[in-house]
Amino acid sequence: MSVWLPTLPTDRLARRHPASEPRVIVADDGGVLRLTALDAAAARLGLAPGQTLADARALVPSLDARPADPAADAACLDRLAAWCTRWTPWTAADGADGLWLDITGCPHLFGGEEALRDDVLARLGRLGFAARAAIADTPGAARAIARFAADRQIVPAGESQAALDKLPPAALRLSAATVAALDGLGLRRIGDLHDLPRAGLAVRFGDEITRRLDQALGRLAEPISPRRPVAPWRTLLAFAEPIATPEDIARVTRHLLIDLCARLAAVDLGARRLDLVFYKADGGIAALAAGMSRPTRVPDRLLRLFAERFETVDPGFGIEAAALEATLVEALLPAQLAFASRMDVAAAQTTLTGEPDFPDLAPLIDRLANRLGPHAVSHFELQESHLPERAVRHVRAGSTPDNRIWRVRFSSPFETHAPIDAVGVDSLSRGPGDAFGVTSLRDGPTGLLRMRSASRRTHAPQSEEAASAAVSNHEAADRAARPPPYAAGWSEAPPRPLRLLGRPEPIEVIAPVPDDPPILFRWRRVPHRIARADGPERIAPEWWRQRALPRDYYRIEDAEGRRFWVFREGLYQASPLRWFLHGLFA
Amino acid sequence: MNNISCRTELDALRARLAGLERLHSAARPCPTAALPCGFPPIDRTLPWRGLPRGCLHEISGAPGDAATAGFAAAVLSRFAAHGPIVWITRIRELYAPGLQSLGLAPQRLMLVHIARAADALWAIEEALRCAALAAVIAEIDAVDMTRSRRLQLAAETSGVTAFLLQNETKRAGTSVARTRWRVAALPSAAARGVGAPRWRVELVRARGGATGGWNVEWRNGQWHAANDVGVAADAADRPARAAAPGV
Repeated sequence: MSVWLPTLPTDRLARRHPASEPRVIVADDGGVLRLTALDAAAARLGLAPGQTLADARALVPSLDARPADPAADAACLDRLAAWCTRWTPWTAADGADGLWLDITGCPHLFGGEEALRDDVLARLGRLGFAARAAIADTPGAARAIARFAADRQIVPAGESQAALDKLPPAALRLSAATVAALDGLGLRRIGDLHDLPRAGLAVRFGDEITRRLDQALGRLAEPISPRRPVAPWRTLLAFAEPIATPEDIARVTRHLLIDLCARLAAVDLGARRLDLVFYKADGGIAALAAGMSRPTRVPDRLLRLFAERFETVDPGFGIEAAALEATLVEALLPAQLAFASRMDVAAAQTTLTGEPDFPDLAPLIDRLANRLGPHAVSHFELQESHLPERAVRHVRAGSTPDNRIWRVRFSSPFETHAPIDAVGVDSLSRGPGDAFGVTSLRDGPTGLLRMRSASRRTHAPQSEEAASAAVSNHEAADRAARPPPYAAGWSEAPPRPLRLLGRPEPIEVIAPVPDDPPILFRWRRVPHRIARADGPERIAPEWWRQRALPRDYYRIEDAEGRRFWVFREGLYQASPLRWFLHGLFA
Repeated sequence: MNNISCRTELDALRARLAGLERLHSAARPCPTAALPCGFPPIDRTLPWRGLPRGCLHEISGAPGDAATAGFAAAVLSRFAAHGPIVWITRIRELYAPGLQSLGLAPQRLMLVHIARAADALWAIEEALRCAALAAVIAEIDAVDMTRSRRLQLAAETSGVTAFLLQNETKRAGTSVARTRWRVAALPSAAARGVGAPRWRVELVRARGGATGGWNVEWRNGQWHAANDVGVAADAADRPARAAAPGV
């Protein structure tokens, strides 16, 4: 279906400021103001587009002339195209004053093609837009008929050519020069073009005429690019009376969710992203979006993600229809739903997929992430780096990157041997491939490694014993007191601060030379006198990443007992030396 | 005579209050109502023989002092056995290896980063409603009476324990918190170098119980009394000041 809005610019203005006088839109054309659009009243008085404003004023002194604003017109047309998705998701703006609606497969939902066309025109009319519409086999034919034939025409399938033959060639979206040339040749109807040799037409006019003709007759495909990608999972609800209250909106959303979730359940899918669109009576739309950390098809849970934002929806003069789209869906087997609440199965899944030991936090994660932003909810993940700021990274909660799965696959060797990040050479291989093999860890350059595994052996039983002693009367606690599969990855020694500043902060330091810890430093304008110190612990930069200086870290304690982690950047020979505060110990 | 009837009436009222507060109600079995924090002197002082679950606790300290978070992490390590923990922060500074050394397994932790202060209360309440969690801890200042009551209600309903880490200078005067703690760093006791973390832990307020103060040291994943060492001996095991603000 093609919809033509011949008086879009004046209609748009009239919605804001009703016209009391005949209104025209003027644009500057090389120093002369010319009429580009006019409303019905002006047209009745004999004005026409292309006239100069001075001529028009001579005819109609009380003319209400407004400057043209093509950008606003385009925006208005785009909003209308969005609003038209209530009939079909496949809508697009056509030039500056038309709309495409691909209604293939849609008319039966609205009582047939005539009813659909009348509904579109009636609703546009109620919004204040004069419109003409036509339905035909191809976009080109529909457009030509909407603009050049009688209004409200519906061309039956296969009869496009007969309908087109009577129309002037201009209906084929040809350039003005081509139309003028055809006119000069006496070709005044599309029907005249069929008999001409195509080769001659192509030589004289390029492929313009033959292409447009073929498109209009369906011999050449002309796809309409929709405004937005069309989601295959979409459900729509239209109301007899417009709704406005948040309670009604919630009820409608619930209906849509139940409908969509039932369809998703039938094919074992769950939604990861949902778009909720409200079509307002004033021709606008209001949209809400929600993302889920795991595929979900539980209507109540999804409803909660939208619930508190219903207040923010501005219903205008009421909402006439609502659509729900699942723009991202993923496989969700029925078993996963049933088992989600059972802890033991969740734990089994944990070891399989490497998800941290979170029972069923997906609803909470979704609610937090939808309000605070997707990166606000995270958990720690270990990285193979001995640079403190790179040894841990924040991973979005609920995501399952491949590397976590790999880490668990290799977890059993780590449990008995060494923390991953304690071994410098590990940093060299960071791919999930087998290059980072278990054997290289075991047989690696490992004086350091052996030392660490020994220290682990002495520490681990002690802490485990303590934990289980404290909670021995709780069954659940006993289960959780066992170290999770990759707990061994978190390094325990050497000591690391509880808080690590996002960026090391420069401090002013008084330190004896050459290798001594500072005796006094000033951080954030407060002087601290050092009472005790440990160090240095030298951490070399990662040579393959950037040119950086080695750091000598000291653990220091001031007179009040506050503990800091400071480092000196660079070797002593290198000048200038700089000191930074990097973390705070508990 | 008069005295006795007064007492029974008081007891009845107390029982009714406790029932209203649901702390000792039949809905929640006794063993899970309180969780020992692992340091016997503290557990003995608390009227619940541990930290009660499903209610609000406040831990305050000097601004910029990591001892507060350190004490909280050590306490939370007991809760981690019962479910995941949500830690709500304003600044991304928590460092996983540091948490690990205080006994709190980083993989039991979900971090929520708050960009606007207005979102913090919402996020705490939202997390408190999720019964799968063991505890929620939030770095938040100035929670007034009404808001703390909201949080308390949410915590009671789900049984999730809430900890509020507060800046001593900014915290509001009153709240419905079940216990309130003040934590400060103490100089270390090691012969040379920086030793294990030591804190002065004061129980400023416990509803229906006595207050107290302890010097503790966190060593090898356990609490140890730190009274025996010279530096802080003068302050050791002294009962908390009776007129602590806000009690």
